[in-house]
Amino acid sequence: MDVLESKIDTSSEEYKKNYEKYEQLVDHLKSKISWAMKGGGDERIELHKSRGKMLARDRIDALLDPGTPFMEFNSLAAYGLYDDNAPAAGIVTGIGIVHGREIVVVANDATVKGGTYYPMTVKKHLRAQTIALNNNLPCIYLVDSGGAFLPMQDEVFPDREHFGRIFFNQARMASKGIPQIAVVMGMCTAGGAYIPAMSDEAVIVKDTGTIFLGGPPLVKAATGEEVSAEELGGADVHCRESGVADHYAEDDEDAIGITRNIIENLNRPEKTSLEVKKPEEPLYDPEEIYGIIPENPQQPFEVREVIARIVDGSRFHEFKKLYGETLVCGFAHIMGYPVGILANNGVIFSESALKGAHFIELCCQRRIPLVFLQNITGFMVGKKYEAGGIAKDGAKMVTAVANAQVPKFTVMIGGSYGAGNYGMCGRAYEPRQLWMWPNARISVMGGEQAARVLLTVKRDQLWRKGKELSEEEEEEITEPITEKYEKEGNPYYSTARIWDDGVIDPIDTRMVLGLGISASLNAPIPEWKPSMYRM
Amino acid sequence: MILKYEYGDNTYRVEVERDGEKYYVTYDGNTYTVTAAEVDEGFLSIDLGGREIKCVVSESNGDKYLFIDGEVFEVTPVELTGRKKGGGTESEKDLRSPISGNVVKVDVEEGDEVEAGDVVMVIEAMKMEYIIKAPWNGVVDEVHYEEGEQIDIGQETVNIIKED
Repeated sequence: MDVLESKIDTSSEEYKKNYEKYEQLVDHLKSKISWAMKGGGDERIELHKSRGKMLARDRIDALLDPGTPFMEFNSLAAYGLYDDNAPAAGIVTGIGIVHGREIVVVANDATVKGGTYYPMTVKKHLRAQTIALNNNLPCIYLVDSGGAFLPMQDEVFPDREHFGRIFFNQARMASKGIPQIAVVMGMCTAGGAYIPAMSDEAVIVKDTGTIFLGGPPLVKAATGEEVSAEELGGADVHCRESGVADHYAEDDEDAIGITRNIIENLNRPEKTSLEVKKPEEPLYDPEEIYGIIPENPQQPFEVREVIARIVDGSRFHEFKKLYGETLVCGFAHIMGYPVGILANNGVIFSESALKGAHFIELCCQRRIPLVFLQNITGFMVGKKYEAGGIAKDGAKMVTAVANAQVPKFTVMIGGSYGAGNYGMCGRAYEPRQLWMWPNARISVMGGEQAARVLLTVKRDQLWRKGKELSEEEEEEITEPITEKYEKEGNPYYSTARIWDDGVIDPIDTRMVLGLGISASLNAPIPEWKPSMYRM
Repeated sequence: MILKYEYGDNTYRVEVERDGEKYYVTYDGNTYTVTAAEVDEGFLSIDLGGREIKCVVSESNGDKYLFIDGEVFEVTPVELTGRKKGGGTESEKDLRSPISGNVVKVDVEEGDEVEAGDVVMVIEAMKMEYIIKAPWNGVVDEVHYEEGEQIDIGQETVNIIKED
């Protein structure tokens, strides 16, 4: 395959300036993540350990095969929400490897408000289950939670995608043959009791693990009966009397050991095979991406320079290079896996959209996973383009993306605006994973454009009443809108609300995509059923 | 079959066609008739137009080592890929607007001397700033647009006469 040739001058002033600026963005990202990893803080951590319990991340670390990577999701969930009282939303989720096979882990962090479920905790738990479901991966629940966060019950309990959905998912996943193991390492109260009860196998830890529908205070209030937590729902009760749990563990470490034994005996089906190559590092250092992304987000950049720093050997077989040039399409390998890449190199025109739809179909036909590198301000607007049918051509691309049956992966490497987000496989198009770079921005349109649109609407309204806006009044309308869009378009605003699976350092893009593709091969690639297009 | 090998600093391209026991090997416009037999593993006896050559071939890390008449030749097979197109980036196209939008800045006047890479115009459209840079050293001959004007996709922004 042909090798992409870089034209970047790493000694230029522009490169150096961009690099410096980007390093700062990455530093900010890292400091935010290390804050989130501390969970409930030192005091809570000490208290947790004094009870003989391991921390959520240490439990995961012990569960996974030594030296294997853990791909964590949404480590910045709930960032800036709930007065920052719920770092990582009090739950750790991700894909890891046990006995050589990928699994999904969902681990409550009891140092964060006793592991109770805030709205984002629920969303993060559900997202992890969706990942397990879509990729056909066993799901391991390390339970240590007091259940719903009661002060916010209206945002975690009643609706379709709220707490109850966890158990609905468990039943549906079980019916699809996805193994689910619960390890009760702390409280498992009320609805939470269904997590082990609905799992294939459940492990419970002596003394610290408890399962009950109503805890001691509730029992006292309801019936007057006085009972200790251990007597009510401890390991002895559930392993010897009720049969709610199957394995009795002496402590956390014992429980993890038992869980590894369970996973060893799952007899998982073989993975889907692709024509893999020996993985190769890119010819160019991925860290050079820092110097390629312009400091000013309004300046475009050559996306082939990014591709050259992500794919194996910087090899790229480009498709339709001279047609619809604002969308770069081509075949490559990432960590040895074949991929079809769609990457924005400008606004999408009719030709780019047609090319994109064609290329997606090629990948569907050949069963090649798709990677979308999103940096898109939208589909081209204007009289000429509307008359040229940009709406129907855009629709073709959106249709092709929606119906693609191969695993899809999206990385937002720049802007993600408007319908461009749809055509390039935004969240609603169900990529298996969606990651953001720290320079990315996401909103329905640019802040300035939104402000101008709203200003025009307002002006027309007033004009009909025979009034006009002064310049000051205009600014009063536009400024807050621009500010709102800037704030809400920020990647940390997005990731806090789980619109993505996490914000990553660009140099980790290769690894994250490689792990994601590997995990996706646990599910079969179904037959491709294309739909009709408006011609 | 087309085969390419690197030997020293050069790449050699040969075309090979098989006809039963015989091979027709074309190199540099000349075609040779060759027959070859593998006498032992890696040991070849080759008849090249009546001239007999004995050769031992060994392979290591994808490179081939040929031992002929006491001499060793190291050759590297080259994968056949598409040919590199173009090469240089400088083109007249670089001075045309990549998009329909607003001219927000004009950095040059007629008669200005510019160097390759100098910014000559900035066009704003679809939330992005498109920077037009001089593709070569030269003198600005014509500036077609003023600040605030609309420009259509594909229109020339400025004309720069290339310095010899």
